[in-house]
Amino acid sequence: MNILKVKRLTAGYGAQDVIFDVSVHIDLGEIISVIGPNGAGKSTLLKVLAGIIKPKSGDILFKGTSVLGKSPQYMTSRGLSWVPQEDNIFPSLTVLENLEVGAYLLKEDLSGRIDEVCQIFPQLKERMKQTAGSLSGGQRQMLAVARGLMMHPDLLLLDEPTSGLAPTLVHMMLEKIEEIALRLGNAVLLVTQTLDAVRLSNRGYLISAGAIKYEDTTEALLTNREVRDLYFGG
Amino acid sequence: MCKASIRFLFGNNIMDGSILKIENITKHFGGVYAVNNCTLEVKEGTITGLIGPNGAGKTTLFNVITGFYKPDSGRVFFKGEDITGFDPHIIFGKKIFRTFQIAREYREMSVLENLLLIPKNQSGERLWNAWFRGKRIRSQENVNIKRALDILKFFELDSKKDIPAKYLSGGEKKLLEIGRMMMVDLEMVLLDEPGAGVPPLLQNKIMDYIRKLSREHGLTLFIVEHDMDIIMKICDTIIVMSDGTKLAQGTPKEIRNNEAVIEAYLGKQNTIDEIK
Repeated sequence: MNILKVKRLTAGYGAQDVIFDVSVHIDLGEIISVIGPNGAGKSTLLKVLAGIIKPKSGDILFKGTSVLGKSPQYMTSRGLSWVPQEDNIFPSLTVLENLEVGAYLLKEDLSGRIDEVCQIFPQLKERMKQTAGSLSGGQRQMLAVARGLMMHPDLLLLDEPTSGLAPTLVHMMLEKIEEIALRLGNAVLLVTQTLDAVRLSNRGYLISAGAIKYEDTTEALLTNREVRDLYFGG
Repeated sequence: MCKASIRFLFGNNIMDGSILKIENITKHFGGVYAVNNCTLEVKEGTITGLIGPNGAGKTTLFNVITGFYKPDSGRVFFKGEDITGFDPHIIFGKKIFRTFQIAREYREMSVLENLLLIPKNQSGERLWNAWFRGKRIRSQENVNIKRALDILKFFELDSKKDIPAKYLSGGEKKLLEIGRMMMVDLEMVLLDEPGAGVPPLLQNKIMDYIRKLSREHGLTLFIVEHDMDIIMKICDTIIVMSDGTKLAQGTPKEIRNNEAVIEAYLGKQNTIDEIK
């Protein structure tokens, strides 16, 4: 079953369109990677899906109903979490407050949920009272992803989640992403430049100049000669 | 002649070929010791990698070297001169340049302008010259513009030269940061995660360029990076930091096989080959 179906989406900033006629779909239990050169429109696509940017045309079906033009708050309440690439923490709030903000729509006691995300990133547990602005770059990235997980999302949109992380943590993060999709049956849409993250996905889309250039299984994408020449090199 | 006299007369670097020396640097934020009694050195003309777990103090050390933080104790020597606590613009004047882990572009300025303002002491900066030396200003600007356009072409950003830098994507902002270093002649460059958010093909292109700068122009590079492919391929020496201080130093081969490094950074179960 498609948890997300994007039909012929065109969107951008002001008069400048960045993505054109983009169609993607994700099933529950799937990990989908979106790859492409810098400035291709990958992050813009995620912003449209999260409700940050209103598209000019096209449609977005989330859990079977159109969510076109809905607010980020609505999308979050329906079970979509977005972890942006930049400005993804509140630097003046503490680590704990950042996590609480991530679950502001939940009415339940958050302590159990916070413990759960801290099992993935133990470094955060040691720094609960520290302001997020004083964290290192990698620790900020952990916090951003942890905050994205606070709402138990059905669909998690991750923009470069492994950027700035040490190799051991990259592996932990990838394992967690795999667990979210395979064990919990949720879906993950991953924008990434990391080959290991691409390998983890079931299918992938290559975006170039705002349009989907290739859509295929990960294996086929990685062995496609043109994709290798254009994107990975060698 | 005793060592102290040699150091007094010729500076620290004469003795051992190091261009940068960090001696017992400590920097703490409240109760957190980001850098803790760290001592290390970087040899002139080499590419030196700085790796370590998240929160090991790598970026803080870069901030201390480049004057963004004043250390609580310890000294920083560049080419034998004590530059501890100098302001960032003074350090830049010594031909030391750094890029940031999270790109810091001038958001409202165009992409081209972001590069054009990097060269120091441009003729047009002086009011007097603006009135009486217009030709010189134009000629210097034309040289800078040509250089900047060549850089933008190299990074495939030439079609975006006139748009405000805030509209660049995350990866493009990183490229713009690296592009800035190409605008001036430098002695040493500190790169904070140059590969993060950059597609593999372009990463290779940047790394080839960095290698060329080092081999052909003798530029010294000090690079923080988590991508072990990059680090192992281009570095002559790798320094490993953990808990704010130096854990190990060696060639890529030595580091690859160092048990303490595998435990602290790469993970007990994994070798680098398995990770990449």
